[in-house]
Amino acid sequence: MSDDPLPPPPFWGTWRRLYWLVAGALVANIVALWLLARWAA
Amino acid sequence: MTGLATLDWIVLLGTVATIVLYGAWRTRGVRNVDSFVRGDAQLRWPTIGLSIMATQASAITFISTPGQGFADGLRFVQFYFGLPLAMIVISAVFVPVYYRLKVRTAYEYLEHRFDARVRFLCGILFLIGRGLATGITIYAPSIILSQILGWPLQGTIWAMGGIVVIYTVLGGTRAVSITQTQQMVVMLVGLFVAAVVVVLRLPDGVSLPGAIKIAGVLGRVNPVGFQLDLDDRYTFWSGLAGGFFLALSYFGTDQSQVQRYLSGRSVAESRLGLLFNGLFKIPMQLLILFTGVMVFVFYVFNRPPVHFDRTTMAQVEARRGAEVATLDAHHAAAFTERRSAALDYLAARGTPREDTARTALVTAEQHVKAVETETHALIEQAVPGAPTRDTDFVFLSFVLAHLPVGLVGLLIAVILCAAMSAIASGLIALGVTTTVDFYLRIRQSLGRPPASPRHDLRASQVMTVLWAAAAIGFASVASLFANLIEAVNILGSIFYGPILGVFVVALFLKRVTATPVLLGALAAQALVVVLVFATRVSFLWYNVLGCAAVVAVSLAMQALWPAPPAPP
Repeated sequence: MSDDPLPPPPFWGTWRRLYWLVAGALVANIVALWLLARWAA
Repeated sequence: MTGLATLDWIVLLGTVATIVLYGAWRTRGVRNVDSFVRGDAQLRWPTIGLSIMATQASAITFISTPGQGFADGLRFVQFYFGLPLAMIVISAVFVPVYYRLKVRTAYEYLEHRFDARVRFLCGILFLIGRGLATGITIYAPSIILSQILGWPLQGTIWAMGGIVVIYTVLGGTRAVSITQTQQMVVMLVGLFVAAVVVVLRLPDGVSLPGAIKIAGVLGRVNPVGFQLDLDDRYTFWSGLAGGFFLALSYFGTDQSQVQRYLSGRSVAESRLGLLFNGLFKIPMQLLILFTGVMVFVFYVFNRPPVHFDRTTMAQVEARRGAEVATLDAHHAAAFTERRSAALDYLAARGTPREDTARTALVTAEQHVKAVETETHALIEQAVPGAPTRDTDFVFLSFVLAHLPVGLVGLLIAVILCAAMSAIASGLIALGVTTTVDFYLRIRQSLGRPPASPRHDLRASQVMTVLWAAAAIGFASVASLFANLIEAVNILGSIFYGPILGVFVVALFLKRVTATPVLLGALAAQALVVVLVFATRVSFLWYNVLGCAAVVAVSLAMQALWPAPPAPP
């Protein structure tokens, strides 16, 4: 395995952490809502 | 009809006037068309983010969405599941392209990539859809405010449209963004206050968790549904896939949104504004729906009117007084039964009686629903053609009847701010697209020399005023046509898929040329029209299928009609 990582795909670029944050927040929202629905039902 | 107290009027007029005057003062002295269209590209990400949110939040968001929570629970929130992913794609792909080409409208990019025909086609589709939608954005809240508050309908329409057009025309896109920032702050504060007040108004002994449990048993805490059903409007899948494509087309290709982030100081500021929307949109919509659910629980313990649309109900009472009295007795009995069952359920939680109490509560809810069905049948018999749905009236009725003086004014200000922010974005986008993509472009085609910056600015302002006149005029006559609103809503949603398809081809399929994509767009538009009128497929899927059809037909046409080889 090379020590040099492959360059990030251009889609993500230097903004990938923020994109992951937004996508992660979406997943967290969905999981929280699903848990809320299970608790309330 | 209910009048507002003096303090409410002071809060309402003070809030609206302060925002409008501040916005007009901050943005005075627009000098040229670039200043009008892109606000000299000076905006930072907080303004862009709030402006994007305010553009999407129309008055109907604050009038209808809590009613949707009241009647149908939290499931509408799924509609927004695809939005954050769309914000990521737009930030990563669309924004850099728009900035690199220094375009002033989304459709200008299509001429860079294809040719003027594709630009004109998408521009025209946008103008039709957004023009009609802006008329409805003025009309829909006006009719509800006039019915509930007793304001004259035509006066409300003209006042709302008139105020917006003044600061939009004088200050351009920067005035729109700056006023939207203030308006969005008012909306968020008002919304949060309303949610807190609703919870505080629950009866003693009913805690917030208890209220959520009651809402859950009665089917209102249902935010995620994984069933695969194309006819079901709001499921996890339709929200994620359909919502993604709808958000991609709305935020990526609709000039009313594109103009918001093209006014940014840099690509980074625009991206941050879009991602801000991606982070906070779902929590905001959830708060609005949750407020509606808590209003529902409030009315489990406090008797609501038999029907929230009092204007229609008064007509029914005038014609069928005796039957309305019987209905009222049925409603009182069903309400009392459900209230007792809810209190019993709360007392039985955590005991062996819980399941029995839950079943009794569900049965009592069915009895309330039966009275609702009875009410709708009576309305249909007594006033044929009258609307039987009353959910749009639920939240405002609650605000007027149960919020303290002053807060009522704040909540009406929230609704007016939401209306004005959506109208302003629509009008300036219509004015700018007509000027940049048609007027200036056609002048160029005719070989006319470029006019002075002052002439171009005046043209943009005149186009915006003309669109305002058209939208206000359309709103003024909308009440004459019973089924017009529904038709316009359908019409507005059928263009997004094909327009998005053109942009997807433009950005991702570099070998497809202008004629194949033009044919693809026309074929996809025909397909969506067939879907609307000949099938029961939920509207969220029109965008997916319309977009996919453009891509498929464009690729097929490109294979049949290869591009001529590039000159050596």
